[in-house]
Amino acid sequence: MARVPQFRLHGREPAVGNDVEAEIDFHLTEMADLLIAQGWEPNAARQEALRQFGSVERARRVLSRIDSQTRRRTRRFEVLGDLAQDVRVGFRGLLRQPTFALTAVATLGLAIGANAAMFGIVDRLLLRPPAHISDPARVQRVTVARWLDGRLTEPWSSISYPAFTYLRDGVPSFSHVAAVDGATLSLGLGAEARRVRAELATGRFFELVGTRPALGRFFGDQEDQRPNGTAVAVLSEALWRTGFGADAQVVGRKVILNGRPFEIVGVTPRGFTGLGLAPVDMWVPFSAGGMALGRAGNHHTWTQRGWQFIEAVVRLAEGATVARAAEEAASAYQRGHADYDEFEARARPTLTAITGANASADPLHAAEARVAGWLFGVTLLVLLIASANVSNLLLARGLARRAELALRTALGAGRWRLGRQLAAESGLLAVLGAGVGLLLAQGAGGLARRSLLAGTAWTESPVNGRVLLVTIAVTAFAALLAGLLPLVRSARTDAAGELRGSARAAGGGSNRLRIGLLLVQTTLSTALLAGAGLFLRSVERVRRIDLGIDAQHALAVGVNLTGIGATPEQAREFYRQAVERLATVPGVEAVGPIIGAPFMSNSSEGVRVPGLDTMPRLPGGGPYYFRAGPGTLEALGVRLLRGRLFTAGDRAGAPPVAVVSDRMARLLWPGKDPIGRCFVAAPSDSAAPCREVVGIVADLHRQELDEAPFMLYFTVIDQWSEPGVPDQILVRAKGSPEELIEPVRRALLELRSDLPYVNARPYEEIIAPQSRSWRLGAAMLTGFGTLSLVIAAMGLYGVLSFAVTQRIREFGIRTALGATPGRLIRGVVAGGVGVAIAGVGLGLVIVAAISGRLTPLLYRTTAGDPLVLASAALIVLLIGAIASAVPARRAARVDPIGALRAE
Amino acid sequence: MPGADLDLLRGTLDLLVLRALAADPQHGFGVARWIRQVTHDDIRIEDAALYTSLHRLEQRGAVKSEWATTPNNRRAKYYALTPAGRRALTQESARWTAYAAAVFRVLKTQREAIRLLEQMG
Repeated sequence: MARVPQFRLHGREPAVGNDVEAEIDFHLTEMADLLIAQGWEPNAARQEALRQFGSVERARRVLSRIDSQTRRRTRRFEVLGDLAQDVRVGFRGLLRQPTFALTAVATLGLAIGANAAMFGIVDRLLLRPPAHISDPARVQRVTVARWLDGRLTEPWSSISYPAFTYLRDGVPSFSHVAAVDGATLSLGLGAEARRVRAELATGRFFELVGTRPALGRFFGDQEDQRPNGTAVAVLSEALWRTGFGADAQVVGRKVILNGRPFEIVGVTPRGFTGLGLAPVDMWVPFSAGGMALGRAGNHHTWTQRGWQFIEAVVRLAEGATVARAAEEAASAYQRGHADYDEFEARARPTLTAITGANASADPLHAAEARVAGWLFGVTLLVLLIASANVSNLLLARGLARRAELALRTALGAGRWRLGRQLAAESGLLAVLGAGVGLLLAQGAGGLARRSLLAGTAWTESPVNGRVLLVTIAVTAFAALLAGLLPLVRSARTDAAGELRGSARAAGGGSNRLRIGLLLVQTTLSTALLAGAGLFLRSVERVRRIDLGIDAQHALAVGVNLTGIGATPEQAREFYRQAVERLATVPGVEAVGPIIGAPFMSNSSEGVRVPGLDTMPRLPGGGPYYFRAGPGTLEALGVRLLRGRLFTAGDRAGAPPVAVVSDRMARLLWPGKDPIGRCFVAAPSDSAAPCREVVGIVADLHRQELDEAPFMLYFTVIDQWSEPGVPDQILVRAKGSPEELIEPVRRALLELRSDLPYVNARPYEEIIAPQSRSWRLGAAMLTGFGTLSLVIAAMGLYGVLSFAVTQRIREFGIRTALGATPGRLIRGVVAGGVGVAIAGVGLGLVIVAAISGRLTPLLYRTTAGDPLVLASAALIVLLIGAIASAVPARRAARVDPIGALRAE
Repeated sequence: MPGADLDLLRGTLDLLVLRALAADPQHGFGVARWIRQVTHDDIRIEDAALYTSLHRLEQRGAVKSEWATTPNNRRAKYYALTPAGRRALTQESARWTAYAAAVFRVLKTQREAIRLLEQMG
């Protein structure tokens, strides 16, 4: 039984049954031949061979079964072996083309790094609850929305102490209610004093949180008894480390807070930041902290329902629902305020989770979180661009290697095998990229945290377990994306055609694919650049806001004297001397005391104007006032429009005067000259004098960067109905206010050496956090936009220079036929710029489509800002033209003879 | 010894097959022929059992197989020892020899006992 010899391709296995069949056949044939040679007659020989063999049927079954098992087993090993083989081959391939490999790895590395870094940030700001809170889903923050003009206002996070007691005592669905109040305390005295961020927390706060101290114990309800509580403090792990040398014996030590001794009772676990995300240095009982802040004598701290300064946090009881708890909270809050005013009696407390953008009640944090969420989306776009680029590079390489691939196909390499090879290559690139990316994320993520997100406590490394997991996913995604198109392309490779023609002949369809990818890249780059431009413009506009004061040269200097036992008279005397002393410090241009200050705090008091029946009202209330002295307004840098500012003659006993804002002047005395007219502040006080308006200043901001002008006025501290102690001294520096910080501190310590921390801050620093979200957006989007543009430019360059190589022969012929170099250059550049124009158009369409969502993140900038869009478009086109020009010049320099001979 | 009925232990058959492949790769027919030649047909093995043994050895990784052309231009599946197979052959031969020696000693004692009984009548 002769069999036709079969030529078999490596890697393809015939069915197991056929194999067994052939083997048995061979045996029987050989045996029969042997018998025939011994003289048997052919038919008998065949019979004998079969007899000796035994049951052919059964043998077939048994052998097939064994072989099937064997194959299944070996295949498993082969897959692993092949994988190692693919990776080895891929690695060698990359080493052969280091430029390609470096470009691809760098591209993917940048994109993956950006993703890892941004995920780390988003994870902290948006996804995870603050650390060390047990069962965080049941912990909620109370905010209160109020009715205004028939609409509920944005919820406000501050409530009064009495309101806190209503929630604490009247809501069965809450198992714990605590109040917290952030404050800056001075730790230590004199030159050694430093500033710490403290949280004043009511007694059950730590019980509510449900964590354990790293050292010692937390304080409890018995240490928070009104009015003064027990002077104990819990240190954060970070302060314990940096300020106390991680001393294991720290528990029991005394520290001086605002001049008063406190006993350290414990240290929190590492990374604990309370219920917010901002770093906190220590926790003190609400009552004791209030005492250190000098609130002890202030009865309104405990009793005034209008004194809204604390944040309430609650833990829901087992089985309680948020909806039910919110209902109960609303009725408790409204019951408590029934006899107060309609505003509060109808107010609606709401509960918000402590996870996500709500993690901090601080609206600045929420804005940052929103921007960070967007930026994470942006990094995904960058990843998309990078993957498209690597895909393009792989395609180009694939084209260059078509002949090689076709040859390997003809030699029996399965498509599957070739496909796997390509997949291994893109996977290898992605894994190398991920390595580069993680290094970048570690560095850049740390930098972004320090410079742009300084208001958040970052205890974890920028690359942590969760970031690693996401990076793995992102890498797999990038590998798939980059490898998919070349893979699909290679699957359609026609071996015969490829071998006959050359690489030149191939690739019409593939060029369309690559141009499509380029289009995606330029489109996304345009959109990103436009986004960056919009944020930059927001930052620029924020920078240009006329605050009405000169924040760039002002320094705010505060010292809390109540803690060191100074009486109000002594404190006033200290401030008088301090102002005198600071006036002599070199570099100080103006100096004056103030109570309340723009962007810090202010007060409101009703105003009556003789001859005016009804006071005009503005949506935000007012008029608001600050109390100042001679020199203060100069130090603040207000712009005097008419009249004069305060002088040394405006003292107690002299006729009371006021300086009003332009807005107030126009609203109260429309069409008249306000100078010399008067108004009564605090009209309920029958003894209140009529204050003469001596000056009008340009409108200044009260509290926020983004606000409409309020009615504001300044009065003189010593001319107010009750004598006040200044809480700040404002200093105007000739040069940079930073340089004055140390001289000012030294000068004050010379006056009195046991001062608590002298808090001297440049005014800009007080305002800066408000513009952080825009600066974050601008910095990151500019970075990512530039990155994506560079990637897209590399892509454009790569595709065009490849196209030129493919068409060398054509260019040669055209040059030979008399085409001028200029003409060839124009042709190539037109191709590149054409893609860029289409991409720019699509990019602008995308920006228009998302403008509705983008605008709220910007500052007085619309997503359709023509200047920004035009610049983004121009930049992309310019880069496109440059990226096209280089290969175009090469096309023009083609030597016709050489090109024609090369084939 | 009429071999056809001898029911060989599978381990023994495996050992014979491994030994058959010790020198050169062989196809199944070659293995069968070699065993017949060296045993002078004393041990008759059904060919089906021989092939089962070959395939099992392949599954265990003791032998590997490959299709190749015979001198008279037929396609045949050739088996060769793997390093693992070579190790198995050495170990199994040693064990089998020791085992056979032990059995032989027992049989010798028994033969003497029988002779003794016969003498005593």
